[in-house]
Amino acid sequence: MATSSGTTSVAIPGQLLGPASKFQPGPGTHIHNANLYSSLLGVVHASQPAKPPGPAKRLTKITVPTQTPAELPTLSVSRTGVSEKREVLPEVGNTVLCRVTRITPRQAVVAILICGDTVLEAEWQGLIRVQDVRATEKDKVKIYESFRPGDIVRAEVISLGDQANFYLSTARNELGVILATSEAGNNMYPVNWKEYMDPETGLSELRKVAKPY
Amino acid sequence: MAAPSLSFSRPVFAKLSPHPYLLRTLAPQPPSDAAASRTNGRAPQEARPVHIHTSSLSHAHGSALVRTGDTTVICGVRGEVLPVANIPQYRPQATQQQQDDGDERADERGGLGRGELKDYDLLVPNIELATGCAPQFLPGVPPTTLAQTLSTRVYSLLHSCRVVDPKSLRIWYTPPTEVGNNMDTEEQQRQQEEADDGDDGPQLVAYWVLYIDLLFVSLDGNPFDAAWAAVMAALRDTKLPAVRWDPDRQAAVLQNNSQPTTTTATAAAAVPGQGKNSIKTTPLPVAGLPVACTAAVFPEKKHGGESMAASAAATVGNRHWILLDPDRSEETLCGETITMVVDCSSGGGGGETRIKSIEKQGGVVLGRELIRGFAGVAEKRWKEVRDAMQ
Amino acid sequence: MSDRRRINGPVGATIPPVSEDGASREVAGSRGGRSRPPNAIRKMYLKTGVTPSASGSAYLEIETSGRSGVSGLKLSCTVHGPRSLPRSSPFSPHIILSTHVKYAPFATRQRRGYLRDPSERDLGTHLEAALRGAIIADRWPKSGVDIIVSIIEGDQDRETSKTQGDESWDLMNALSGCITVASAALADAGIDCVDTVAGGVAALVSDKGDASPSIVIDPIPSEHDRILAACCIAYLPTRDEVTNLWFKGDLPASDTELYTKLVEKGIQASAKANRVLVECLGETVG
Repeated sequence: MATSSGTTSVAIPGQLLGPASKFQPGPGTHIHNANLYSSLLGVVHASQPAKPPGPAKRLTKITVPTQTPAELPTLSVSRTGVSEKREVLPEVGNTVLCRVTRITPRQAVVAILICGDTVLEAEWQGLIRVQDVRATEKDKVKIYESFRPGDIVRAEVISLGDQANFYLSTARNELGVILATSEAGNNMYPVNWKEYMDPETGLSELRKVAKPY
Repeated sequence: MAAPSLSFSRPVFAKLSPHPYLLRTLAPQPPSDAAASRTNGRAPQEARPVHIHTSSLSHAHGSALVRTGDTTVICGVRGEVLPVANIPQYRPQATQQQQDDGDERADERGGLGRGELKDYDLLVPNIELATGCAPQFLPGVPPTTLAQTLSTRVYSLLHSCRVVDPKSLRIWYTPPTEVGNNMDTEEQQRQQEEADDGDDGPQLVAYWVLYIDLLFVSLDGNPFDAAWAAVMAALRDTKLPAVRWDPDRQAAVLQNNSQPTTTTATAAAAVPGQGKNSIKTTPLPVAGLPVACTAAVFPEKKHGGESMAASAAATVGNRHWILLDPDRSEETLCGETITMVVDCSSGGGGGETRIKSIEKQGGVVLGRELIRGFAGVAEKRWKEVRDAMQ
Repeated sequence: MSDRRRINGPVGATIPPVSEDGASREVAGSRGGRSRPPNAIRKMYLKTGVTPSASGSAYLEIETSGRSGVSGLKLSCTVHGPRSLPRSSPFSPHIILSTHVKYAPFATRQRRGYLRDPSERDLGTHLEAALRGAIIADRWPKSGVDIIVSIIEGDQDRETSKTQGDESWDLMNALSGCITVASAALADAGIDCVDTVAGGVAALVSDKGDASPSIVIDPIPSEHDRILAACCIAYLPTRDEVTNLWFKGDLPASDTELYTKLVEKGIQASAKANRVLVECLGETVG
């Protein structure tokens, strides 16, 4: 586990953080003329390499020299504490929570609301194509038996996609619909891997259900 | 038990399902003894405090900045002169006397929005939302429906409340009595004030047109209340310059205090660079102090389809909350809103409350009793805004 | 043609009241000269986070010159984004910047309309150029950011009318303010930048008393008898790079030294503005 050192200081864009020979650039920094500069307004974090050399864990100090580049501490500037608003761009491999906005026979269009544990300010559009809904029996998947507009879906980013959409997949057990509303307007609860049930009307509806944690 | 057993952090929950989130804070589950409040920490009938600054703009004749919570609006009032020659359907009323008589007759009739103010369009309020005040209002597009609606509501309220007296917007001119007289402007002016008889009496030559421009710096719900408060504060702050009509130039000329004969001239000359700024101004008389008060109705059921709402209204447990001064997230969740404009200023502040306007949109929750009760809430809000204006 | 989506007011033209001829000339004589040393900028007040509903925002106020009737610059800037691009736009590997500068109707001596005029569009273009050099655009593929500056009050003398064609010089001061305020708002929004860019203006002025023209920074047009040339610089201090240079005026082509001096002074003005910016940003964290 990477741990951050105790020293926290504020950086503004363009502030010199240290020579590039001694630090690895992390998020919120950039390298110019062999020096590491901040590119964000935020708090500087230095994290030690994952495997500290030597038996004792001394974490409060940024140790430097005679190390291979891979063991250099990483400097990053994070927005935590500056503002609750953080915008991140979804990346391949991220788990996102999104709301279904539109369905067609070939795909479900979703608005990505939360990426990892970051609540997004802007709405990025995502696409769950019919072949990415399930891992098995892909040819039998029907979008309208998997998602409905308004559902909240947990999905994984599999591609940066085209100009407007991120491509998402729900082809794992723990991915799929996590919150659904019935046609009567009530919140439903999952009954099995492909059905949600309305507690008031007792009717069940088909969904690609995410396995509850 | 139907609620999903998933556990989310508060911001995630608020983002994913805002309606149940607000519902849960308004109606806490029995085990928790938290007091019912909104997600923004306010009590249901608690409005955000109002802050008002006036006279911060130097190019406008009157200005105000109003801030309620995260909603900030700037209003600038600027007077320009409309010569009667430029009014296509101008109906002249020859003398000041007749004009004033006409006013009294009109006042007796009590017709709303009558007369010059409306006929000649002397009040021009406009609201600009496209300043990036909220993510959905970006510039480069024509005014949104909301901006148009707000402008129109302010416009009609200005007329129906008769905030501005058309008398104060008239510009008079007294022709010189003798031809070839080499009176200087000062004497002419005195003449103008004295002469009120016969054919040489003052003529109505022009009107002031008040451009009331509102710019939203930040918008977090309830734009109308803030906009209206800004309009009122700016109008009360407005001081129109004293002008003299120049028939040769067909224009209104500003009157300076720094004219050689006036006594203030010496004082003005003592401070260099001040003389030009001491243009005589008169405060615009503003009648009454109407204050707008808006609330939104938050229903327990999210999907109030027509048939469902009717049947659900009968069932017990379909509760609702009246949220005063809703913010942006609450506005998106509430279908029914009410705006009441009240004025308690008659009779020196302690007078009776007069309801100037009620607007209610959407929904079936607010009935006669609730609206009557809401007048009390609006009265309380009136006092808050009045205190902020002073 | 009138815009039916706004309230347009009376059909007939309205005219602002005019000041008396004699008065304005008398005023021209009594105008105060520059009260600051030539190397000093006016006091600035900068604050971030004024528009909580936007991703980032800032407000800049430049002190008035102390005389009544002269307004300082008041700017409000909001930044929205990074956000997804509209569906119609093609794929972009980097962030797309769109800038928008608009005077409020009550910002200047003459009432402004609601539609952007060419000078406002021009300001927007200059602002975009100045910021594009500062942003690390490839951190945010296929996204866009909107930067909107509202000029709440222009940098203008209220009464000095028709003394000189000083509207164009006012634009320079406005642009320099726009650059500084937008830079603060971008930092507030958390958009990656290589440096904090700030704007500065230097001008070659000639006053009656002086024998030869002199260079001043942060000029107020009404404080000088004539402005011969001016330049507005957007400058990155740690990089020592100029991202936008806007030069206007009349300089002899032979005298390149004068030109470089003017640019140097502009950089100096920008560096001073940058100090305010850095101080303001440093205070926001904590």
